[in-house]
Amino acid sequence: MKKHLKDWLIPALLFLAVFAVEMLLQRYTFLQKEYFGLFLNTPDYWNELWSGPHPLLTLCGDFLSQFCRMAWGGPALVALGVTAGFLLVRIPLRRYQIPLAALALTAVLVIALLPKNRERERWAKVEYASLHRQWDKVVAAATPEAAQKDRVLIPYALLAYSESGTLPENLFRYPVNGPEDIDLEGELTRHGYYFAALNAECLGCTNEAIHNTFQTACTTPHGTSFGTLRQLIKFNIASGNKTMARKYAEILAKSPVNKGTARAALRYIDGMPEVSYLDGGPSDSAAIVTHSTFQNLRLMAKEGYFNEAAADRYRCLLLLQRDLRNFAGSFSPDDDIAALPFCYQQALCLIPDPDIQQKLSPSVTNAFHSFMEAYNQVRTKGEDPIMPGSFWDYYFLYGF
Amino acid sequence: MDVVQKTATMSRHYPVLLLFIALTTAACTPREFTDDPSFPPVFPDYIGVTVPEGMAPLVFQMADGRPFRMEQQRIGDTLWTTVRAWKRGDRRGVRYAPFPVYISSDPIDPVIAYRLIEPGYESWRNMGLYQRDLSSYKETAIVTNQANNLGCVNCHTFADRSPERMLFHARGRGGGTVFVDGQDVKVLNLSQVGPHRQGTYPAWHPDGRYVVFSSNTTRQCFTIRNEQPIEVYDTDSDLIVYDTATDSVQLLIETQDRLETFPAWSPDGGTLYWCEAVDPGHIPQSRGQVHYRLMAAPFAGGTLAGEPQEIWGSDSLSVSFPRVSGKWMLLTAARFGTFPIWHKEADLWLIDLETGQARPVEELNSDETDSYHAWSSGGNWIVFSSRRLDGRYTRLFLSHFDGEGHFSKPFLLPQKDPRDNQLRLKSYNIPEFVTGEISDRQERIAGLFKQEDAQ
Repeated sequence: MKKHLKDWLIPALLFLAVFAVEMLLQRYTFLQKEYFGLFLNTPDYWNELWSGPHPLLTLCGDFLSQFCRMAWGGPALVALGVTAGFLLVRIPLRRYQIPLAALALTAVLVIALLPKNRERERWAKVEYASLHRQWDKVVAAATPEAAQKDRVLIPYALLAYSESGTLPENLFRYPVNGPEDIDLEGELTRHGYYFAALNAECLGCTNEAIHNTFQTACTTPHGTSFGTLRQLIKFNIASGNKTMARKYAEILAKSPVNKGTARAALRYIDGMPEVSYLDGGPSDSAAIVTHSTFQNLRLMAKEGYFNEAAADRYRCLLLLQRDLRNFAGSFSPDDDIAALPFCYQQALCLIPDPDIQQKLSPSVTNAFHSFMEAYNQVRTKGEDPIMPGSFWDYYFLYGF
Repeated sequence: MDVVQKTATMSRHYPVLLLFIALTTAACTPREFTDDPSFPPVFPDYIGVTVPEGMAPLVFQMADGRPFRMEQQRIGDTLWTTVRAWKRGDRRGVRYAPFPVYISSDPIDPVIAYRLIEPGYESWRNMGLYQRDLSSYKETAIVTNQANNLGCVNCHTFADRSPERMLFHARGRGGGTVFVDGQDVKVLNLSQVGPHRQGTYPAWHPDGRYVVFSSNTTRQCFTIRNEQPIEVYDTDSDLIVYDTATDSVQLLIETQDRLETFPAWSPDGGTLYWCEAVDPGHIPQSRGQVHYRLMAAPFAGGTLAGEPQEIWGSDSLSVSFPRVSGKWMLLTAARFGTFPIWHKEADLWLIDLETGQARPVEELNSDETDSYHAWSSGGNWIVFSSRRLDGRYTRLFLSHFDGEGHFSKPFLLPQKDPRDNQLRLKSYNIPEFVTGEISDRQERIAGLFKQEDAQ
């Protein structure tokens, strides 16, 4: 009886232990694997599968990838695989069950703790959390310290603060060098397109969000993926394009695991009102986007569609450019300058305009005098920060 | 009565499909039906269309997804289809008025070649040139971009619709223009010979010796918030001619202030047509001022043999893809620009080259983009691409031409499962009629790029 119990208890414990390790250390990697994976019961999918290399292996991987949609799916699959392997190896090595199980668990742990995999997990967490607008998780993972080592985290952190309405307060806590740190301009990779789609979505540029989602899709093995299909449904709903949203939802419904999501989307789409602007013809004067967030924000300001978050990002970009004239011009005379975020007041403090100087908070002007005293003693650029996280440090000490 | 054929065409080719439909529907088919004098709402809309004899059966479904049964009866040149449909669980169904499909004995080329590609922005993953046998649903790859390391394959054209002689561009590493001539396959980088211009849109001279290409510097831009997400434009374009006999390239038309593109031939090869616009500068900001006009010049001995003449143009339209059959020219017209596929107002226009009269072909056009088109060998049929199904993914439609300036109601290229038209995540691009199956090309073309890689 005891032996029989052991036969089942060890594999069960191994399963649970591997599952726990993977849940703790690889969870987001699997969630993002699903985002970029694809399995659809459509003729196109099958045709491309059979015409590509290693169709059976690809099919297995594709089919299993859809179960990673659930947070427990990927860890459970790994745990199942490891346990099945253990059971097979155990047949000839029955006497060494416990060492074998320990070895398997150790291997799983070591693999999960490899620096490369830790970095991938952190990336996956930041990408996943951004996608789901879990901004607190983004800033928790993309800290200023982490960004020192991996500068590509900076745009995610700044996007998170922008969406939380605290970008000006946090901008200069990060090791920013210039406007290029606010997006991944020129990063023509999966990561770059993925961020560009999120960025465009946050700015309300649905065309650009769709554009970059297409670009992201092109970096996946099948040219589309579960995640990009879900995003295309969302963005087409946002732009009022019922036809395209329905098409993508009907295609996504061909994935067994995504069927429920797709059907819910279809019900929502059926209840959507028609949007009139879709009936218009082509515009020969519509604003054109570029790969530069700064240029796009300037265009958006010109076109007149600008929300508060976009306005803040625009001002922060002006600060990163050290363009104090246009920065000051972005406020109206009625704005309560003393109530503005400190870094804005720090910038306005440098503008030799008596009206502005009068309106600044006394604490800012006092702090500026202290800063300048310290600066006059140091005078050498690139020294240790005088007032960490301040615009003045950025303006006077760094990045020239 | 000529021929009576109940439930005929489908059962002839697809007994398994029919059996499946019969088994799945028989169990829950109502026994009582009320008559509805209207035609059934079917997708694709095959009601009253004209199809060539021997065409693959027009498989459809109820537009609202209801189960249905159908009976078909051919009387003379008309195939009458009676549809009975019902809602799941209902005991009574609806019997719709029989709808006609007219069968024309005018010959059609047996194959259509096209490119399948994501209706993309800047990048792509999987694309390829494919051929479709019109008498069945068989679609096979001519060449896919697996052959050239996921590069681009585009702008395919055939010498007088011959499956033996074709060319296409293969972009990317080791790329160039691939010429297929019978068993010979070669890749030629046009930009490294003659005037050092790359080839873009080709037109193969009817006698097979010359190929005129436009040589375009093409860019695209994206709009922030507008239904038209992309505008593709040229900052420069001229015409070059490639002589297949000497492997040489010459400039045909080169101007600084004008953009020349989309070459096309008269059936006898004596006239070269193209589209030409004044370059307003500062495109894309000035894109609304770009209006291409239809031009023509006599052609002989590999060069223009006379002064170019404007054939047709308008300050409010921009033309593209002129294609001639006899005295008829079909072209695409949009409000402005050179890339009508992203212009939902783009329509097909027909010009009588003898009288100069032009008209938008209302019987073909839709509210969405109607664009690239090709005539069949005899000029009895056309195939054209349209985005009418969803506004984004281009699909192929065929239509019969009566030779008098009239087209029949266009019909969607039939698929074995009509849902494929909606589920496919690729656009059909540049449909061309071909007089036979293009066989055995994929491996030899792939071999060409392997050699390039090895070098």
